[in-house]
Amino acid sequence: MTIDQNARRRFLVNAGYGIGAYAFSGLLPGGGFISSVQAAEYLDPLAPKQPHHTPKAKAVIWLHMAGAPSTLDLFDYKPELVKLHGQPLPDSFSKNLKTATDGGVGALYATKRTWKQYGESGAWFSDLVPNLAQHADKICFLKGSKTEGSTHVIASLKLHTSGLVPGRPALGSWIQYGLGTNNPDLPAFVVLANGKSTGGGGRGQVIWSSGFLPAVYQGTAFRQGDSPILHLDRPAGVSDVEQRNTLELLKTLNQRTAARYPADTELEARLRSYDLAYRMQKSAPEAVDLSKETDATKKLYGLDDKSTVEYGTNLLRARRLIEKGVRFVHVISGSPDDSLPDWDAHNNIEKNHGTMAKLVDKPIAGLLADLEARGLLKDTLVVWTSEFGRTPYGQTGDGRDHNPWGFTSWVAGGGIKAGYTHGATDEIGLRAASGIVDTYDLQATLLHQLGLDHRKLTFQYQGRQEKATTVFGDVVQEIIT
Amino acid sequence: MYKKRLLHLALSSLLATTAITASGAVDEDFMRTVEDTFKSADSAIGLKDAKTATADAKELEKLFKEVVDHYVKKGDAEEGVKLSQKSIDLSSKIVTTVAAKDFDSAAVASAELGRTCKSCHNVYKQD
Repeated sequence: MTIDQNARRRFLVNAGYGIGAYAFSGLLPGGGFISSVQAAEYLDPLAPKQPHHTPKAKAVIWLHMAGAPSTLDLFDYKPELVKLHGQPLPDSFSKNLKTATDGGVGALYATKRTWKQYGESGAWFSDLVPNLAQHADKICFLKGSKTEGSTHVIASLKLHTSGLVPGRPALGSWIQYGLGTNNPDLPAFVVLANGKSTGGGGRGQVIWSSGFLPAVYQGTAFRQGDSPILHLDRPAGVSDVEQRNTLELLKTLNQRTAARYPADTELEARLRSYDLAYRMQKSAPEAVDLSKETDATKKLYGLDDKSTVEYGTNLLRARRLIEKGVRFVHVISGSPDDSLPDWDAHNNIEKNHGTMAKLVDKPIAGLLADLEARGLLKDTLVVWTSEFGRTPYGQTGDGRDHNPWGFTSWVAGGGIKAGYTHGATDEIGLRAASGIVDTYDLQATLLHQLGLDHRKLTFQYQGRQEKATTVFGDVVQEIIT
Repeated sequence: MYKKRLLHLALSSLLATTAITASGAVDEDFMRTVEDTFKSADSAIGLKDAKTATADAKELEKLFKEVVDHYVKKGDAEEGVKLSQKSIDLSSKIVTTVAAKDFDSAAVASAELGRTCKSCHNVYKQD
C-alpha cells in the first residue's frame, strides 16, 4: 500500500516535472519540444524565448533590392574596369566560371557614374546614391559577397531560405521560431513591398514562407497604400463582446478539430491568426498610421516626393513596426511604374538604375538617420542586399547580366562595425576575391547578433535535424564590434 | 563462336561505359550527392545517431577520394586536391569522434568540413 502511494506520488511529481520540462524547453530556441505539434497544446509557439547568448540586436530591417542592382554602379568603384572598357573579358578573370548566364558575355562595360569618397571611412559611393553617401560611417560594406545560382528565383530562395528550391523557412521565420514574439498584438515577421512587380521582383511568397517550420511562423504581407491591413475595423452593428464570443466559439470548434488532426500546423496557425487579428484591431492601426509623424520625419523618408513616397512609406512603417517589437521587417523594392521590371537591368542600365536608385536612396538615408536619432540603430540590423549582383561585362549594349560570383551587400547597426569595409572583388568586380561572405554567412551573422547560435537553432523535419543556414553558415567575426 | 564474340563485345562495351562513368563522375549530380550525404551526417551528429553518422562519414570518405582523383586528373588544381584531401581527413575525424561518442568534437569537425566545402566552391563551383 505504501509502495503504491509512493509510486502514485512519484508519478504525479514526475508528470509535473514533465510538463515543466515541456514549458522550459519552450524557452530555449531550438528546444525540440516546441517543434512538436503536441507541445503546441501546452505552449504558445510565439511566446518569447531566451536567446542562446546575449544579443546585440533586437530587430532586423531587411532591405531586399529585388531584381539585383549593379553594385559596380553604386558602391564598388573599379578604376581598372574603366581602363579595360570595351575589351573582351580576360580569361584570367573567368577561370572556372560558367560566365554565360542569361545572355552572352559582352565586352567589359565601365560604369558611367562619377565617384567620391565619403565620411571618415572614405567609402566610395557613386552619384546614384548621394543621400546614402552621407551615412558612410554608419555602414559596414560586405564587398566580397557571393552566392550561387544565376536565376532570380533560385538565388532569391538561397538568399532568404538557404535553399535552392522552395520549402525551407525564411530567415524571418527562423528568428520568430527561435525568439518568439516581442509584441503578441502584432505579427513578428512583416513583409512590406512596393511597386508594380513586387510579386515577381520579390519572387513571391516562397521567400517569406515558414517552409517546414509550423505555419504560424510565416511572414505577414501588408498591403501598399493607406490601409495596409484590410478589415481592421469591427463590422458596424457588432459589439466587442459579440465579436469576442464569436471568436471564442470558433476557437473552441477549431481546437476540437486540431485535437483530431495534430499534424495540421496550418490549423494551429489559423487559430493564432484569428486571435492575432482581433488583437491587431487595437494595435495595428496605430502601428501603421503615419499621421502622427511630423512633417520633418515624413520629408526625411521622402514622403514629399512622388518618386520616393511609396518606398519611403514602407521604410517609415518599418521603423514604427520595429519600435513596437516586430522582430523582422522584410522590405522589397519594386518598380515604381510599368517601364521597369525592378533592378533587373539587362538593358538600359542608365534609365533603370537612375529610377531605382532614386526610389531607395533618400528613404534609406532617412531610415538610417531616423533610427540613429531615436537610439534604435544600435540594436536594429539594417541589411541592404539582393539575390546577386551584376557583371562587369555588358549585355545588349547598355545593360549588365546576373553576377552571383561577387557583389556588395551592406549592414548597419545592431553591433556591426560602422564605417568599415570587409572583403573585396577582383580588379574588375567579377568575383569575390577576399573576405568572401556567402548568403549562409550573412544569415549566420545576423542570427548571432540576435543572440541565436545558427548551429543550435534546429528543427527536426522528416527525420533530419535542419538548421537555418544548413551546413554552410559561418559567423563573420571580423565585422562584429 | 559468333555468340562468344558478341558476348565479349557486349561485356567490353559495358566495362568501357563503366570506366567512362567512373572517370567522369564528379559532376553536378555527384556533388549534390556529396552535399546531401554531408547534410545527413551533420544531422545525425546533432541527433547523436552514431550509426547513421558513421555510415555517412564513411561514405563521404569514399566520395571525397573520388574528388581528389578528379582534381589530380584535371591538373592545375592544387587547391582542389588539397581541399578534397582535407575533406577526407575531416570525414575520418567524424568517424573516429563518433566512435568515441564525442559528438561535440564530431560537430566541430562537421562545421570545419562545411567551411572546407565553401572554400573549394569559392574557387571551383562554376555558377
